[in-house]
Amino acid sequence: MKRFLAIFLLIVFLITGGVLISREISNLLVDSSDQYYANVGAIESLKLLDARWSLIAVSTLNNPDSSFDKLADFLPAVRKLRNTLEVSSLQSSATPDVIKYQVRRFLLQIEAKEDLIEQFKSSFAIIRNSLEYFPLASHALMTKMREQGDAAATKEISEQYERITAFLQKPTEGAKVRLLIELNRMNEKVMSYPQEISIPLGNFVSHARVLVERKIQLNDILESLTNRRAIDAGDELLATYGALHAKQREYKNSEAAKGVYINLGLAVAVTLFGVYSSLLLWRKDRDFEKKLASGIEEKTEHLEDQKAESSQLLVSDNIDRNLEDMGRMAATVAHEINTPLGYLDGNLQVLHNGMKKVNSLFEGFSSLQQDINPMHDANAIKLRLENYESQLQNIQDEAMFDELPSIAEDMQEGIEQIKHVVNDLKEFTRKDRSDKDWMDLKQSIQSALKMAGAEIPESTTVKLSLSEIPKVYGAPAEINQVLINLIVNASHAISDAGRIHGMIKIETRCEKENIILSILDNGAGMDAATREKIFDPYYTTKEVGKGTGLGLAVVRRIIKDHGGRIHVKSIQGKGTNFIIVLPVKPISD
Amino acid sequence: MLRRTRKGRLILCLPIVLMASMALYAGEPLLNEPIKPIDAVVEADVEKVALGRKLFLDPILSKDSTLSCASCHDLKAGGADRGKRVSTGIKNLAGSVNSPTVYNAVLQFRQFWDGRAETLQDQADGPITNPVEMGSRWPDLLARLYAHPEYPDMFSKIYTDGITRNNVKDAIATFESTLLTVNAPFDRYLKGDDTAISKEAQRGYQLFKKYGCVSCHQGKNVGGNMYQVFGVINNYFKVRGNITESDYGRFNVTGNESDRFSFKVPSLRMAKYTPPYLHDGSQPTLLDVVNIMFRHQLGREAPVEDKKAIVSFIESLAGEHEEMK
Repeated sequence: MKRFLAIFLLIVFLITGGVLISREISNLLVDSSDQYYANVGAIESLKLLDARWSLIAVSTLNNPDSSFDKLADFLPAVRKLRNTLEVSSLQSSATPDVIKYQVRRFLLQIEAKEDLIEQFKSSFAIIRNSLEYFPLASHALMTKMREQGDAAATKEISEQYERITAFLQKPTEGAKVRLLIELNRMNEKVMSYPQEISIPLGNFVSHARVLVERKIQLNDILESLTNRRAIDAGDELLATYGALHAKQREYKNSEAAKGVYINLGLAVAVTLFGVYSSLLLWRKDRDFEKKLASGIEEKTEHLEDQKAESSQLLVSDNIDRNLEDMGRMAATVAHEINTPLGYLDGNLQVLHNGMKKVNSLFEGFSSLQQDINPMHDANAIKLRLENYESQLQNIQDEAMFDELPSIAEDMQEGIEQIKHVVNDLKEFTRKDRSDKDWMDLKQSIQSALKMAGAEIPESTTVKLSLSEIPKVYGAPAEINQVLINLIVNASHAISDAGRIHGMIKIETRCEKENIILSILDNGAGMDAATREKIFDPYYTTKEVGKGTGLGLAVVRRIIKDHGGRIHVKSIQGKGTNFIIVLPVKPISD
Repeated sequence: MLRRTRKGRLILCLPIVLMASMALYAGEPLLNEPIKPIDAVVEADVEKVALGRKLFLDPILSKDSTLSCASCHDLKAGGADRGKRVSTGIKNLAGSVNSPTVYNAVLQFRQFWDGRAETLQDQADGPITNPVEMGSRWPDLLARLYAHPEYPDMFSKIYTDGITRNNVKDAIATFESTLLTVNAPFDRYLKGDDTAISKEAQRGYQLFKKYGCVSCHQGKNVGGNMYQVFGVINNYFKVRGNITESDYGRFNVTGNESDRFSFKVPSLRMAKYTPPYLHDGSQPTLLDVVNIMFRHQLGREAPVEDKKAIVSFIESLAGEHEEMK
């Protein structure tokens, strides 16, 4: 009987010990590095493909005998790399959110490039045919009209032809609209001509229309083809990923590794001990039985130790998550500031290049004045003046001065955005704005509604149901901010949902020792995943540049400072309800 | 899962004899043309191709075991549906668009008229589960395959996980990828054999380029590598009338207004054998569809002799395949 028990114990210990040991060893050996380097490789390859794809598209412009096979041939490679990234980083729970977010953004840019290539192929095929045929069609039409002796009509077509060729050289939106109106007018007249004229005239108008309608579009496509969006998104992803990976490695080499070694040691000890005690049991030694009892106790202790160990691991898990939070926050702030910095930089470059030219002209003029007397050579002065004139013309042609206001505006906007980000950050960390006093919540609601008024969609009704409530002890500035924030969010949710009859309902009531404030909207609502994250700092559902994702984090911080709680209920597509519970009694600071 | 199998690979249709005989031709090969010859060197696992072929021809794939892939993609009739405007599915239900040829489909950049499938593997899902085509549900189909006397063994020989949805699609797609047509008269002409196509067809090719057909129908497959709006110059659907959802083409996939009435440009390779034409199967002959293209896509006039020459060029694009014999 005891032998049977001994064998049983031996097997149990060997199996559990084996599992524990192999798990710890695999923890020690498996390094996310493989995954990391494979992903980096995929990202770099995709960046390269993206650039080459554009290059080949542009090169087909000048090669009339090239086929689009070369462009379509990219698809399998892009598809494969995209799948690799999706499987290994997006679908893996080990990937930090910030990386997932940036991978998704990068892949979206690659997808956008794919769409762009499709647009290019279709658009270029059409334009190319019409560019080739339009002169022939015009010539055929004018010949026919001349044969008919219609000099006025011939002249009209000839002028129209010139206007369209001029447009193709320098297409503008204004000219496009004017030409399309003229072409429509011509089209209406087509049927009034005899067939010899109406057919070539119809062809002329059709092809002219194709060219006018699509030329700007093709130019835009070509310009977008050369943008660096995918490459920039890829670089940003690589930078964040690289930094995170370095941090993880560092961490692994220090703390975590130690934990794993301890666990490994424990697992080995438990197994050896188990095997040992089973063997003792095998010998049926009575004395050993007692030892066995104490052995089991000891084993339990070991297991307890292990539990403590794993809770330590939990702590390190938290550290990981904090690192991840900080990484995400840093990435968002960097991105929020980077974008406006990008166009500040670009515009400064434009200004700088422009100013260089203006400067050289200015210097030329000032030296000319000094030279005029001793030079006396009228011809030389004339030549110099002509030179300056062409420089001036050059500057005018570049239209830099026309662009100055918009350049300044862009830069101003960039600075505003950076200011906004910095203010938000300050707001988030600021603790001294909490000058508290007894305040009337009703009044706060009224003034918040006034201040947020511009954001509330016109057709939205605001229902107030404010029962008599005692005054609250709090910081009016902060509570106001909370109210404005929630009202603005509700308004945005309503316009996002495109509601014709929007509704925001604000309710206050008193329950026991608490004041309940509820703000309800029938806006777009959100899903469970979004709902869980909205209070996280730097989580935002708004477009880049529209919000820093600090709003609700600040709201929660303020409510917490006031000793209150905030809850959210939301149904996607139906609406959202924020409920704030504030204590009537002031909390001691 | 796609898995490279251990079995030896077969190099199908390597036309060594052809290459040797080409040395006898006097002409220079035409290398710088927008249309390229198909070189059908397909590397594929022989057993997988055999399994895929069996599945392709087997009515077991349809709900009531009446239709196989080959019912609408007849390999003996150019890989399409023998002159039918649209195909007939189970219970005599009518499909919504004309069945395109399965030959050279692997060369297309996307599958279906609206390009909604990225690969042949993805494409296979469509007809099998479409209620008006084969009308199967995967669990039922897999059960039918499990109960079959041969399939379980055939699958487990090739795939470690046996009969699965992905493996069925993979086998069919692998078979389809071997359906490349070689030795087309026009391809021989491109490779330097001046006598491979008639003078009429040669003139047709020059006209095909001159009138701009080649802007969209180019590459190895003479089409099948881009999307284009149908009705660039003149609105086709206004003239035809009775617009249905499938006429919206790519719009049904992307929801972009600019994709409305946009379709994958079809390959002209097997056009000779696969009337009627267009996604709606409305044009009974090649000359009819050439007329439509001149009117709606090119917006040009051309004498009927030119159009006939283009037709004989298009007919010279059709190549050969073992399955057609």
